[in-house]
Amino acid sequence: MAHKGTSSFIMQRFTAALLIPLGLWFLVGVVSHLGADYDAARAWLAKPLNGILMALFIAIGAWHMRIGMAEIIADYIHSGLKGVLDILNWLVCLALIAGAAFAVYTVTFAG
Amino acid sequence: MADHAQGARPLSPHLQIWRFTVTMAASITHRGTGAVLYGGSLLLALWVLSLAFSPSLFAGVSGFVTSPVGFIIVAGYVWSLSFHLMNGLRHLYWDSGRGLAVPTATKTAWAVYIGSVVLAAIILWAGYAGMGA
Repeated sequence: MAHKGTSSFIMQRFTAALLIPLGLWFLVGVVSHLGADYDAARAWLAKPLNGILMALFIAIGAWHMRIGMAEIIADYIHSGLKGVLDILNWLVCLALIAGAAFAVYTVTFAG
Repeated sequence: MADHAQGARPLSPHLQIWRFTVTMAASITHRGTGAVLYGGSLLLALWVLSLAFSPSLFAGVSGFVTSPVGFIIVAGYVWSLSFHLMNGLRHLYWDSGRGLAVPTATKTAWAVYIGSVVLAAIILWAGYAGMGA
């Protein structure tokens, strides 16, 4: 990831700013539905605004997570393991985005 | 070559010789909560996926979060997000070139610790009161 410092720095701040309102929405919305029964929780996520905000929170959050974890890896891992962990970090974040998008899509359009 | 040069170079002072300060604690906590949120987001993905595809898994998750261990995990995640979000605001403020003086940074570090506990307590109280748990 040489020569990527400036774009990572900007994207970390950009995603951070977006995550402030999304994070507050998430804290209020999801914690209040954690213990809800299945139908009630599903009906909540099926509302278009909630589905969009959930997808945005997870996708932008995953992007922010990837930058932060890459920073942690760069700070502590100096062996050949670093490359493996960087790729793993990418895959975890991509899987998170794909899984959340698929779940929100299913809940929104499958009723 | 790099290894040879490294052996002769002085090391920078490391963790054990620094005097403890709240700004240092906030910095460490910011990274720690970031790592916690990384793991927590995978649990969040499990919650959303179970909501979409598996009512029985969702029932299991709902039961778990109201158990004592589940509550500790949820509370840890909620406080971590509260802290990281509020300390993130502090970082963005610093990026504007303001708030960097030591007395100011010390005050805002305390504010973030106290504020994040208050925010997490309100969110958890509201969330769990609504469950009837």
